[in-house]
Amino acid sequence: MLFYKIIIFIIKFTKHYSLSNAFINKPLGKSSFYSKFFLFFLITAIFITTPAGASAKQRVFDNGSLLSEEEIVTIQQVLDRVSADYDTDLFILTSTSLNGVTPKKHAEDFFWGNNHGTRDESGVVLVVDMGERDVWMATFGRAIQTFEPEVQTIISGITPDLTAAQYSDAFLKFSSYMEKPLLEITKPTYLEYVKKMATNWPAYIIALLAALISTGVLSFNLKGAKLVTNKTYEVPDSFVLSETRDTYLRTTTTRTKVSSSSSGSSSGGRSSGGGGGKF
Amino acid sequence: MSVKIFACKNCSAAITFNIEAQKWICNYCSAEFDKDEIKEKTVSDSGVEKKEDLSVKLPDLDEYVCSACGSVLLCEENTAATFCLYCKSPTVIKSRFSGEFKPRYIIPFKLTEKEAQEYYSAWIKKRFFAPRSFKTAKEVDNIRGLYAPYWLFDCKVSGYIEGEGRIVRSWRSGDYRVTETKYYDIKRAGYADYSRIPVDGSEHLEDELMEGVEPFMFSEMKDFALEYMSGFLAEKYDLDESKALPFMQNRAQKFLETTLKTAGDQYSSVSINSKNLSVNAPVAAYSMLPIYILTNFYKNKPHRFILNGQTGKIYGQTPYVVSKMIIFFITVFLATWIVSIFAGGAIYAFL
Repeated sequence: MLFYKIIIFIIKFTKHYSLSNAFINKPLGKSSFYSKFFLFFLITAIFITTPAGASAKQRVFDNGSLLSEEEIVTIQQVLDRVSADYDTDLFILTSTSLNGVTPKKHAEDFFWGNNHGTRDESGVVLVVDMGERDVWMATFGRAIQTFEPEVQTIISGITPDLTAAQYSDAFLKFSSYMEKPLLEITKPTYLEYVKKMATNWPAYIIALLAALISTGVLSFNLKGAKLVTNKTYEVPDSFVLSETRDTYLRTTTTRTKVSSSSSGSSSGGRSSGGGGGKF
Repeated sequence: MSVKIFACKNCSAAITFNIEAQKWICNYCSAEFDKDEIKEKTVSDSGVEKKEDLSVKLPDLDEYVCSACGSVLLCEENTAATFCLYCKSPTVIKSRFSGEFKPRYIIPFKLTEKEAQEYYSAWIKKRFFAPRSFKTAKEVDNIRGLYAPYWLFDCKVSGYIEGEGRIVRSWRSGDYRVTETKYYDIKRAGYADYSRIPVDGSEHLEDELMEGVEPFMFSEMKDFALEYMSGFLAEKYDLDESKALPFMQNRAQKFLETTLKTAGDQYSSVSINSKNLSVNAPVAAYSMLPIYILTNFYKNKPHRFILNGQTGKIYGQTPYVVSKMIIFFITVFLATWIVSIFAGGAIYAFL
């Protein structure tokens, strides 16, 4: 909502060229109605897609059959909410056997293989393997640093429930453990994004281009336009092309690689953090 | 050598060409006349003679005697029509329009001085970086109208150009941008007729400025008659036909070259390796075309503006105030930068 208000403010400001008018609720007029409407449409579309993206994922993979249908649904909802609120992808994987694969690797394969993780690849995967009775909490991206001090506490906190086969309780407790540290280091605030833009080159290039183009346009016709062309004094229909010759010579082709969107900084590549134990 | 004054039939006062009415109007009794109805106030040759050039200090001035009030007119060598300094009678110096100096055609003034001022005022205000002093009413007031001498050339141009043409296509293929350039060896030959290419016949009016106010609407051009000069300043040429010819040839050759270059219109770019264009059968008509001139000073340097007295087109040496440009540049830069970091941050944060 705040974003929407900011955009409207900017539109009003540019239309009335004064701060005072932009604060007053002056009616904008017909042409800006359409731009307002379009913008509203655009922003709504953005807001709709973003949360939808976050909730479309399955977060509980109960291959170990530890939970009932309703428990899965409940836990899924909780994980959805926490993932969206704190911009970190949360998952719980249970299994009867990992076939020799360590829970850490299992979590990594799952996370990276399915391209999970938010924009800065932040996520947490809890692996519970009945075969080896392993519990493992794997952290990725930003979450590595967030949870580093907490991992053992969390594992110790849920292990009793796992031992007592209270799996649903364990997972719900796990979710609540996610919230506390995430509360302290939430996703970057709007201002931090602004600072990120301010220290990077795209903003400067755009501003430089805008200034150059506008100054150029205004200086262009300083002396006046030249209206005379090669046809101005030509007697109409008097031009005769008496000879043409077009001889094909050669073709040159150049290919330049266009770099796709620059990869974001990912600390530690495809690795993960976390810890675990037995239950 | 006599000076002509065109007189009103009713009251014998001087009549001048009125731009709005496109007719002649008496300044005193407001009677209107068409060209054929005008009576010339006869001035006998005996009464008025060109005196010897007495002023050594200003060698370009000649003396004439005003037939209305008898005072002495000092005119520059090329002034052909002017006003008596004392009685303000519009006078036309007939000798300066006779013989080789008789113009063939004239386009009468279409814009009044006031209209010219309004046009100029609006135009200079649009030049964003021009100094503010140029936009004041006081400066705009200095506009003066004058019939300028022109040579209007008809000619034929023929020739050829040879060179290389390129067709460029560009598209995206996966992760690559592919640019394909096809090269052709081309030759184009042709000819065309040109009519009324203007070359200004006055040495002191800069060619670039004069070309800038073209084109004139030749459909409104009339056969020359001295009556049109009444009420205006006019100059005869000091660049004769043979000296004007090279300027015209240059322009005409460029016209045909461009027409040949763009004939067929299929190439992205053409570079010319050799060309030969010749101008044939030039015929010149000496004509009077209306312009308004304004000279303003900025930092003690003159800046001249020319206004087309028929179409209102303006061209001039507008100075630019460097500090204005810098301030504008910085302002736009800062504003765009601020908007882009906040908007960009918002988009980044919410997508």
